[in-house]
Amino acid sequence: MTDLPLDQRTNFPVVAAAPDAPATGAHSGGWYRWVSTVDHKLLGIMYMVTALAFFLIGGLEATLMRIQLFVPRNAWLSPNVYDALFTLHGVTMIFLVIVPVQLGMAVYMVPLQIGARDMAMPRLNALSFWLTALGGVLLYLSVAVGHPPQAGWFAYAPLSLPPFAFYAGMDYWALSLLLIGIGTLTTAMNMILTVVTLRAPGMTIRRLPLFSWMMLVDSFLILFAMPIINAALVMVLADRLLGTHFFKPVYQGSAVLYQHFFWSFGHPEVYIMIIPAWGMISEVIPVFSRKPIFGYTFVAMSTVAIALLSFGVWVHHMFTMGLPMVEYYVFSAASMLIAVPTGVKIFAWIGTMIGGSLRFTTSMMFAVAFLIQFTLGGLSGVMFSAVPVDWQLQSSYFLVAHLHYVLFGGAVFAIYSGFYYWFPKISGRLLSERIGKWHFWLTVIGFNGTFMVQHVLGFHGMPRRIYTYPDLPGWPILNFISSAGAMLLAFSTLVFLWNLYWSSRYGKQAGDNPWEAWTLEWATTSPPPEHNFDAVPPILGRRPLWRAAHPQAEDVKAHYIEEPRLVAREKRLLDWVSDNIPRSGMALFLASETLFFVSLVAAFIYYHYVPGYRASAHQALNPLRTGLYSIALFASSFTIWRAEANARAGNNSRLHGWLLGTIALGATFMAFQVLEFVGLCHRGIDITSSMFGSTFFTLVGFHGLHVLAGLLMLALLYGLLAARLLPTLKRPLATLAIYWHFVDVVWVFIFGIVYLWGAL
Amino acid sequence: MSLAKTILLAWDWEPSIIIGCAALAIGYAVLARFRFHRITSFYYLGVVVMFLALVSPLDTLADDYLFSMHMFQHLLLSAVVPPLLLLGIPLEWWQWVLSWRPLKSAEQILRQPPIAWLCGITALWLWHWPRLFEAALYNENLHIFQHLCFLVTGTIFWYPVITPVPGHRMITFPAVIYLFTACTFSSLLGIFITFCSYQIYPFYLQPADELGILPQLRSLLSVHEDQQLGGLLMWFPCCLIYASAILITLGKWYDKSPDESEAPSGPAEASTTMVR
Repeated sequence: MTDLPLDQRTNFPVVAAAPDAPATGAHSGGWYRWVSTVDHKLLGIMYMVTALAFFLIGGLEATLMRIQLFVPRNAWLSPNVYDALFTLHGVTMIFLVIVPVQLGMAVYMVPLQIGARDMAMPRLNALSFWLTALGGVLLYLSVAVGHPPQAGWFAYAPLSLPPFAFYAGMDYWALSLLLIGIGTLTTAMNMILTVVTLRAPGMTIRRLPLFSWMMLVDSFLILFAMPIINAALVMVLADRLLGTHFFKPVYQGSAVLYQHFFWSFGHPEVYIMIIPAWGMISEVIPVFSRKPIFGYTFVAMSTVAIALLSFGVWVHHMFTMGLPMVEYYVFSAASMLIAVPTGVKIFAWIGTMIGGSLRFTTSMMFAVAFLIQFTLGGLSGVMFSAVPVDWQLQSSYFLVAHLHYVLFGGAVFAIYSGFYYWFPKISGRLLSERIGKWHFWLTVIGFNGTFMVQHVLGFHGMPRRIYTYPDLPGWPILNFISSAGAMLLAFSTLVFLWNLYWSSRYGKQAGDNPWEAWTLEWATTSPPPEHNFDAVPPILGRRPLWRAAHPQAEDVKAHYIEEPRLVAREKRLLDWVSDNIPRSGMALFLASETLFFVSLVAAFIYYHYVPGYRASAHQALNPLRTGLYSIALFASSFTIWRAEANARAGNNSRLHGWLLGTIALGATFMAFQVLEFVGLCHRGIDITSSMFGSTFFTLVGFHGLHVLAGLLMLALLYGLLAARLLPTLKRPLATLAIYWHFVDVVWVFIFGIVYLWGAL
Repeated sequence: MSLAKTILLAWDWEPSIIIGCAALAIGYAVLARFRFHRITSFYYLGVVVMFLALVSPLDTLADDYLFSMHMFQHLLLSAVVPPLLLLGIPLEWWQWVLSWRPLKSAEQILRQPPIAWLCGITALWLWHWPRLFEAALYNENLHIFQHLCFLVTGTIFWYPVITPVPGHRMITFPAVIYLFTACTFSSLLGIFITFCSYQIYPFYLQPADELGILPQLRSLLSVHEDQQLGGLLMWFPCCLIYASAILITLGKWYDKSPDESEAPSGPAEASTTMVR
């Protein structure tokens, strides 16, 4: 593979595509092709179709809620059903619609935009999709068994825990979110590797289409935000199923800590949801203004700024929790600061439109509506950064209006815009403009009709998540208007479905480039062949197709002089990453896992100061004994290093020995850990006994699970080698070795913090 | 005492600091032969910030009264002054320094990212260990050593990010990881101090009130709030500095890669001019 030029390297065998060659496997068509595919285009379509199905379900939930709220003191739905509806609506729309549909559009479009044949890890791509889809099914299984989650989409503790939530719905909620989260995480890893390693020659990072750049930034954000919620969900499940006390105030746990964890994820999550939308808008507006985007560098860099800052503003979701005012000042300032880079982008998009030759296709109309509605949503959001305003409006309908303006009026409108833009490429037919205009206007009127009045309802004091409301002045008429708007919005979705159906059958043939756009995905047929490009056009700028059409134009910028040595070192790093995609992917995954462990350690340190904790720890733990058997784990790092060296040298006989040694040492460590756990349980110190039990067993237990997973993988590799199913273990072992060293390093920290600092 | 008089009295004109800063300022001017470059302003800004941090009422507040102000002072000394000073030193001077063999070997070791990173972060965590921190508050010599430590380790930390010596500066992606992880680890310390429910540094419970301003200070900030503010200052502004450094690094890298080429050419030339 390394002897091929970079543009031809893929992670799977390159097959010459004959026109009538079967797509995958023995069966070329039908459902088997879809279920078994690793082609990014088919997976992208499946992501979008799944997201559409969940959009309809979530929309139905919303419609039912708004019917319930048509009149005051409505007894049509019981409170429990209503609670389930708003919980499922939130979880569905956020985790099963907005994130997957945008990831799906990225999975489809990013390889095309960079001139690649597929994503860097096609099989992982398929795994990610199935995890997301089946995670969604798991969530709705809770409805099938009659116990849907009812604690809201962010499920604050202790409402999510026994004795307030004995029913199984919250378990479904947590488990499905874990599965969906892992699917999202693996897509993010795949996306980073794809954009970094598989760009066609000439496609420098600075020439990337903004959608691909935004997906790159978004993927890093996913990589670092997801592990935090994974840790929180693990702790919730432990509280529910294993009897730990992380978030149970009765047992010295802290409910506020759950909120800290959740919103440390939750705030970056809202940026995860909107950044791809910004990418789509950045593609659509220039094309339909016939002008390159105004301020490319600003738009690109401001997104990075937002991604970095998004981890530092989460307390603004907790302004009403009674935390110290000093913290509130800092987070209030930070939240106001983060609005600035977003504003830069709005001006960039408007600046693109000014002086351009505007074509108001349906896609462009959705984009313009996005600009207006997202700005309104952003303004209502930045109002919340002022603490006194937040104290008045938190958890009122003003908040509901804000979040729907940014998520529906913003993200969903951008998704519609991107969908009308890219549907011709995906299906080969244009969506009907006539039906599209109906869809657009019904959606705009329905959306604004539903949510604009909710701002006023919030000012009037109506709280969110109430299943009915009293006959207070102004409330009934405003709720009636909002519900009427919601009915219109629901109907507009049906119009969209009709457009999809009608255009698939009777839509105009699109051809390669119906919009006369400039990015690489328009340089191939609609839909693209399985190998994407017969030939990638020369990439000399940000608009390769425009340049190809206008070779004599004067729109050139001066070269920047590069510092030669820096470029050579960067090239070496890039070449290494391209040659070592599995290892680079593992490195990205481990960066994410680090934050998972950091979250668990943070909980451990937090609870360390609970009265009686230190005494329990001191009594329970024996650092000397643990330190001794830890040597086995550290020694295994040495043995796996030797194993790797022998694998590289091709010395399979010695490799056997070193591998077995690693497995033996790792198993020794695990055995002693199990003995230690059993010993503690015999002395009455188990996972339910105190805060010490909760935190110790969870943290050390999870590390142990990681060791176990590593041992299983080592055993698998050994088995494959011994059975001669793999000729060499050079690459898989190199990847596993990084994982193994990581597990070791994590143990150094855990041992130091739990056994030394915590128990001495 | 009136406010103006209090402020005037609160300056701590420590001779060693005055002499040190003057030496830095004059020495630079002499070596630069009194010529003014664009980067000279960075250097002098660094000297001024260092001088003010160690001599102005901030120092008095930090040493005698408020944990939060002490954290702010340390932030200036370790994350603001070193980058400014480094930015101000021209390439020729580095090359002259590196022409001496022992200095060259030292630089070779210290500029390795893991070592520079460890220097910076370890100094940060170590000096916040309660016993060491309190000892520095009571012992003036240890305190001076502590400040020198922050200045020196800060310089070592920022050197691989800023140095103009070709080939010695970290390339973009490792630099971003370097800064991001440093941001995370220093934030963790700040988060820990912010949310800690007990008083970590007992010195600030009963400061000796030589200026008589303690009642006014306490009406603004209780002891606990002072600790929280200190943790927040370590966390947030520090993070902003690292985030800005990341953005500047990425921005520079962005500027370097060519985006439009001058000669519209065919596929053959495109592949030979392949750059990333």
